[in-house]
Amino acid sequence: MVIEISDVLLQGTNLESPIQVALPAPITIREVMIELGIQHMGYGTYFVNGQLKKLEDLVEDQDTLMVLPIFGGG
Amino acid sequence: MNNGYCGKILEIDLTHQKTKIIEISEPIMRKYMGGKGLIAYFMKEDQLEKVDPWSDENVIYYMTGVMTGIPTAGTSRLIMGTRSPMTNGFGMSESGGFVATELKKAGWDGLIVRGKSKNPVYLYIHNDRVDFCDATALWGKGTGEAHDKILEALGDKHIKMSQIGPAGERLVPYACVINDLRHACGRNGLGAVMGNKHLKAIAIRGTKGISFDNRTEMMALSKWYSGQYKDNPLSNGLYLYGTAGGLGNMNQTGILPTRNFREGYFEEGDNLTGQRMAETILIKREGCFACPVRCKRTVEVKKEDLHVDPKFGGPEYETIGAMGSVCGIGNLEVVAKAHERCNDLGIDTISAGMSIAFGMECYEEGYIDQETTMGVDLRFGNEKALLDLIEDIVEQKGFGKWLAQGVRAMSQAFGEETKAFALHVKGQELPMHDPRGKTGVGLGYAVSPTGADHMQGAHDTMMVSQGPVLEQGKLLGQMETVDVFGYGREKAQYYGRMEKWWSFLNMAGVCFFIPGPRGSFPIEKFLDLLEYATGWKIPPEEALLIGERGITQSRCLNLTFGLDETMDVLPERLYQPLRNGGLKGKAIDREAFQDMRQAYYEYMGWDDKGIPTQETLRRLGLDD
Repeated sequence: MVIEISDVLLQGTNLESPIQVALPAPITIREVMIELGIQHMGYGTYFVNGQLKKLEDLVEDQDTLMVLPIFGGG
Repeated sequence: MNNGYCGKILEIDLTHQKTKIIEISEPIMRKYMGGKGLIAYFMKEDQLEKVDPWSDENVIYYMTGVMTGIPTAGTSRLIMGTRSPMTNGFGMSESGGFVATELKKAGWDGLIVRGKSKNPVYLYIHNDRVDFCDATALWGKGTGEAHDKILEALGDKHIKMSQIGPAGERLVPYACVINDLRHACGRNGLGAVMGNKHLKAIAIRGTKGISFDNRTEMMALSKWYSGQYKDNPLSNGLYLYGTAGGLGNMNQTGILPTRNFREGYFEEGDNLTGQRMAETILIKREGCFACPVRCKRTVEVKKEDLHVDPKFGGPEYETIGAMGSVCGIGNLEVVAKAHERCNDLGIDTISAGMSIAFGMECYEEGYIDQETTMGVDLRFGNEKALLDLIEDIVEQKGFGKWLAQGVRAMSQAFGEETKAFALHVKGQELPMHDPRGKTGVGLGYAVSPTGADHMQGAHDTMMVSQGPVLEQGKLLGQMETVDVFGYGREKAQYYGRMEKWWSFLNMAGVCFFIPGPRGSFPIEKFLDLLEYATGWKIPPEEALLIGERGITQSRCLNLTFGLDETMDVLPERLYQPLRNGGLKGKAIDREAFQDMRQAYYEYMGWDDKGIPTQETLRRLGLDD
């Protein structure tokens, strides 16, 4: 799957967006984030194929995951 | 000795050019903290229910909070109050920057400005000294020129300054107050009230310093935060991309207000993000007093046909939405120019942008034609019209005469059918957040004492999953995740809980971007900071009670002003489905929303008409 993730959430990793990973079976977004070593997953907003999702939701290999920083006013 | 606060308010009578000192006791400061709390306390004493907002008797309250001036992040807030000429109710607007700290260092917790000067005047407050200075030669000047002339006349470049521009002088109802050219008390028409009093500016110089209970521990905590804030995406995101860092997120979600909230996705949204700004016109990241986060932007454009002066800072998210996507404009340089002109002229970017967007929809839908717009082809996306109309609003010429009156007045004039897309609450235009993707924000707009206002409470999007933000929320009593589209009792209680915390931060003089749950300074440590400043140990439960007091005070005042539950309503547009984007088809459920509002009243200890009960007033110490 393709993961587009904001540089704000890539702190502490050597990753660069977009990231390509292979998913043999559907797993939760939280598990994908843990696999990638994203420390700040709790500060993200998650979109799968453009739809807003939660960390506990499942993703599949053909999905596109976009991760943007949480937004709360301003 | 008082720690963290001065115990003194300076009362200024513009009519007779006299001043008086009002002593504030420790019990009063502990009960009201400053900001909204003290504004409402004095507004009640002053019986503003008997005062017309446009009369000489209206009052300007210019307040700090007990945490203002602590040398750490987020403690810079100035909170201004008045009886609003826009809503006719409790008026309030806050700003970051440096003026509030400077006032505290001059030995004052706040100012109360009464009366009306015969001629244009500006105030120079230098510690205990107050000068009434002739501003006749400054009247009509933009804030940029007037700022430089006042600094030159007073001969001290360290002076901090609140000003109005020509919009305030000409009584545009949504004229604002500009602080040091780049920060704004933007909302509720504070600038119009200053203009009506012939008060051009308040220049402040303070050299006394502020006394704190435990400076050593306070500085250690401040230093700790400065060392760690960049490790947290909440504050690092603000540093890197400013408040517009979330714009892409909102567009992706489908809640970026676009073309007068008809739509939630803007096809040119990528051109307006904080990230795009950083790549193009950003020349400097700046902050408020002692704040390492530096979420403020300074931008510059140097083109033959477009020049943006960096002395006015740069546009924040609200301005980018109001001058950009809401008007169908995807050119960041034009938005930056609009921001510069609004700051120089002294008008609120939100109300100005929303008024222009309303005019655009009226024009495209055929409710007005070029006879009314005085020849302007007022379609969404018309960049030249946007920039020209900002000037016309202030000069109140051409179609600007209409726009200057705001959305409510225009919709009354342009026909009943235009009310379907007249986006205001209590007469104040909506800020750049669409309740169709966050129903709690909609509840906030409806019940806010100031009309539609993004500064009153939290956003539903913060706690959708388990994680560090919710962990901070748990300290405030929010134990469960939040459904952004939800209604009902739980949602009402979520909004109410967070509103109490937001209200407390306002009263203490704190920016909500710094402490949790919205910011990265843990709530427990932030309250330690309050203790080191004042000597007062205030647990989260007491902070929430103090915040609730401020909400209830302003509610009671609004009831005396005639703003009752019939005005706690949302604009019709929000009950219409979004026309595009990730939330296409989404609309507010009218019945569910009404039930949620009633559940909020109940949670706040108000009756079914939204009137605080005697028991609630007693519990909050407001039954005198």
